Amino acid sequence: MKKTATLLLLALALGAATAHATSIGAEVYGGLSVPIVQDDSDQGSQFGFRLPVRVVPLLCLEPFFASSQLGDKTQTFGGVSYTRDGGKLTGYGLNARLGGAGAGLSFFPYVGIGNYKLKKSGLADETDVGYNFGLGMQLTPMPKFGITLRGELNAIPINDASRKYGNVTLGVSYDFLSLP
Amino acid sequence: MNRLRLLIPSVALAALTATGCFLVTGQFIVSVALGNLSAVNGLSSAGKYIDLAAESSDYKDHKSKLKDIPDIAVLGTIKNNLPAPVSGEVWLVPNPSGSTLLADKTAVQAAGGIKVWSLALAANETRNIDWDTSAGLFTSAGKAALTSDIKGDGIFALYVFGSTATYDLTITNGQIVVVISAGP
Repeated sequence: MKKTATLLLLALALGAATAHATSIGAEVYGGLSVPIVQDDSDQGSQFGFRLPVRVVPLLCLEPFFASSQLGDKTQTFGGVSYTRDGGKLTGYGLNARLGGAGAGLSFFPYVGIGNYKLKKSGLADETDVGYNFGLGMQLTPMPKFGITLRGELNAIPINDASRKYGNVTLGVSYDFLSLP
Repeated sequence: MNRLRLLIPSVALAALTATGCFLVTGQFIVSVALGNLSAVNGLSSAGKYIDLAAESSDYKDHKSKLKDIPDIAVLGTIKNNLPAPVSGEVWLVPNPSGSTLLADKTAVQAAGGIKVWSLALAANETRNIDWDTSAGLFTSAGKAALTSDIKGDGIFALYVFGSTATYDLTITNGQIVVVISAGP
């Protein structure tokens, strides 16, 4: 996985250079992850990072890493309460976002694809390709520095069904390389 | 530009929905009470004939759109009443010929029974079986068989035996809990 991620980042960096990227940055973020229609896990936290590479002024490619610690779920059976591990979801992939580069306040939609692993106590790890899409709002109070609020739906197909999560995250980004 | 901004999420949603409508599935919990059981060698078998559709309205509601069984657990309290170690075992008979329980482990094995779950107990030990631990105690073959049955007619029988020739186990408030992935 580390090798794949490294190769992906190298490819993106090379791609950005050859495509005359206008900026390369880094963003750390954190927030909430809410399982959707899942009786066996509860709301948890999410953190991660993104590496926004602005290929052209209106298109930004973002390799990302995300890690969610989902909340345990307590259910009562026969009058006795039992708690199930909510699980830990990690993933890495690539987002494509449109716009959101302007000064001040800007809005942008984005879509992404990633490789996700769900670890849950007592079960074999589940690894699958997942998709995400959402809307973001970026505040750029000064050049190169941004504060981003995003809401997204993350869906991971597993055996003809899916696990879905609603994520709300707040991130801080900095463009460490800007090209004319 | 505004058109493009709307187009991306719309196309994404349409593509995801078109790939089998996996977006409209969810994970639901189905539980069946096994009750209080006494499993003693030489006495009548301890177990339960289960028709999931009759036992659980949740299962009945989702049965036709059942996609996967991501998690199964046996819950409750199990007590070893003898001063010797033993493993408490749960056996599955996938296609019981009727609701009457079979006589013993030999008869269960002859009927195609499969050991699905096992928990080691020390002498005179009592264990409250927690959900996380229980989920990891299923045998892979047993879990596959139980999953197949739940995805099929949902009719099967579960038995509790000891792993040794002489055993005396008490199960209190036993439950079988199944997480199903299904459509609405």
